[in-house]
Amino acid sequence: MNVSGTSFLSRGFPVPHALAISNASVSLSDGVLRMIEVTHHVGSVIPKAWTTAPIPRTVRGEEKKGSDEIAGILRAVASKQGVKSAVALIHEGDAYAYVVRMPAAAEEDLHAAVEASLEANVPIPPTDVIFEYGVVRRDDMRGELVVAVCAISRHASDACADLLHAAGIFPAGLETEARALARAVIARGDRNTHALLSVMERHSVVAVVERGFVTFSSSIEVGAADLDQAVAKTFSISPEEARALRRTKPVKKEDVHNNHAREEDVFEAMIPVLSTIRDELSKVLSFARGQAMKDGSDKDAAVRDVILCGADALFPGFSRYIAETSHLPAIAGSAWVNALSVERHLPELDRESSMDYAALIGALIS
Amino acid sequence: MKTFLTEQYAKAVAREYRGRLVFVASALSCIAFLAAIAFALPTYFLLRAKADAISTPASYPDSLSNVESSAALLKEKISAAETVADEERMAAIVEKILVRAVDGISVTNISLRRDTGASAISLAGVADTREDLVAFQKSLESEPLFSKVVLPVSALAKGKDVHFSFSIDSDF
Repeated sequence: MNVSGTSFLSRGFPVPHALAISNASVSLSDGVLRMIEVTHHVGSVIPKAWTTAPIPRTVRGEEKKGSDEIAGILRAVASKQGVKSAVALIHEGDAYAYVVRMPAAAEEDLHAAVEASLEANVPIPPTDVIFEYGVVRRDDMRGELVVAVCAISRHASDACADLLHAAGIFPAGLETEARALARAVIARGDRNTHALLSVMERHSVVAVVERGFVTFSSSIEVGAADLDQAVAKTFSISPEEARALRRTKPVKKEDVHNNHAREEDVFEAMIPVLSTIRDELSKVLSFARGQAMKDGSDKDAAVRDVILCGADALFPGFSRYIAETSHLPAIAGSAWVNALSVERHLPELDRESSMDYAALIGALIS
Repeated sequence: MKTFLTEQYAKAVAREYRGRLVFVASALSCIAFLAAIAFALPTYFLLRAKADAISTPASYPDSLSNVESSAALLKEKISAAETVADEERMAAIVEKILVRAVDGISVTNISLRRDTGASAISLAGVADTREDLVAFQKSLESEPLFSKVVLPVSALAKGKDVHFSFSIDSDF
C-alpha cells in the first residue's frame, strides 16, 4: 500500500535532501515543547527523532515574557537533535480561518480579492495580517469560487520566528495547528468534508476541513491538563497520577472488569470538561451545517464525520461520547495517512504518541 | 515552507533556497564534469599516443628504411625461390626426355630456352636405327607437357646411326 495520493514522480524522484530547507518542526504552546525531525524516503515521511519537554507557559500576545528561557530550552533540544532549521506551529487561537465566495472573474487577481475580504472576516487591520489561501472548489452554477483563507497577525508570526531565531534555529516556515493537522490526518485527494477535534495540553482545536482545506477553525482553552485536574479533584490525587489513571490500560484479564468500572468513574469525572469541548464542537458543526445549507448545491460540503486527534482524545468512551452528541461518526485519526505506509515503514513512534505529533508531522508534509 | 512568515524571514528562506539550489546545481555540474573526464581519459591517452607516433620526426625515416630493406630482402627471396622453381621445372623436363630415350637413342645435347611468350627445347642426339628414332618421336609426342614435337624429315633419310635434332614447343 502506498502513502495516500503520492504520485509516481514524487516517489521516484524525491526532492534532494540538500534542497529541503527543513526536516524538523516544533510546537511551543501550552507550556510544552514538542519537536520532531523526519527523513524523506521514496515519498514517505519517516520520524527520525522526537522530543517533548516542559517550557514556561506564556500568555498569548505577551510572548516576549519568558521567551529567553524558552529559547534556551529550545536551543538545548535543537542542538541535541542536530536541528538547524524548523517549521513552527502557530497556536490556533492566533489563526483566523474562514471561507469566502468570490466571482469566478476574480481568479485573475485572487490575491487582491482575498486581501479585500480580510477586513470583513479578520479582527485585525489588514496591514497587520499575513494570509494564505486556496481554491476549495468552483461553484459553476453560481459562477463563483469557494476560497479557504487562513490569516494570522504579523505580531504572532514575528514572535514565533524571533523565538526560533533566538534559539539559533532558522525559521523555515510557520503553520497553523488546524492546517497542519488536516494535512496529516486527511488523505490526499479526499473530497469530503470532515470535522477535526484535537485535544491538546491546555487547549482544543475544532476545525472544518473541506477537500483538504480548513474552512473554519476554533480554539478553546480547555485541554488535557483540565481533564487531569477534573480527575485529580474527583479522586483526590495529583494531576500526574490523574493522567496516569486516565491513560493506563489493564494488563491482566482479571483487571479488565475492575478497569471497566474505573473507566466509567474516570469518564464521569471528566464530563464537565468534555461538555465544554462538546459544546464548542456543536457550535462549529452548526455553523458548518448553516454554511452547507446556504450553499445548497454541494452535498460534499456537509460534514461527514469527526476525526479525533491528540493522544488525550483516544481514551475509552470519548469517541462514543462525541459520536452520540454530534450525531456524526467519530473516528480516531492517524498521523501516518499521508506520511508513510505502516506496512513498509513501521514507525518507532507508537500510535498514541504519534497523535500528539500529528500536527508537527503534517507541517512537514508538502 | 515560508508560509505565514513576514517579508524579512520569507526573504531569508528564499535566499537560503536559492543558495541550496546553486549548491546542488554546482555539485551536479562537478559530478558530470568529473564523470566526463573519467570516461574521456582512455580515449585521450590513446589519441595522445597516436599523435606522438605521427609527430616524432626521427621515427618516420627509420620505419621507412626498415620497410624498404624488408621489401628488397623479400624481393631477393622471391627471386631466389623463382630460380629454384625454374631449375626444378627444367630438371623435370630433362628427366621426362631422358626417360623416353630408350635403348638405341643417345641424347648428346639438350638446350632449353624460355622467352616471355613461349618456351622451346632443342634436343640433339644419335639413334641406332630409324625405327628407334620414330619410336622416340612418338614417345615424345605422347608427353602432355610438349605441345609440338618437330623432327626434320631429312633426319629419316639414313637407316642406321641417324643423327637427329628435335625442336619441341613446351610451356614450362
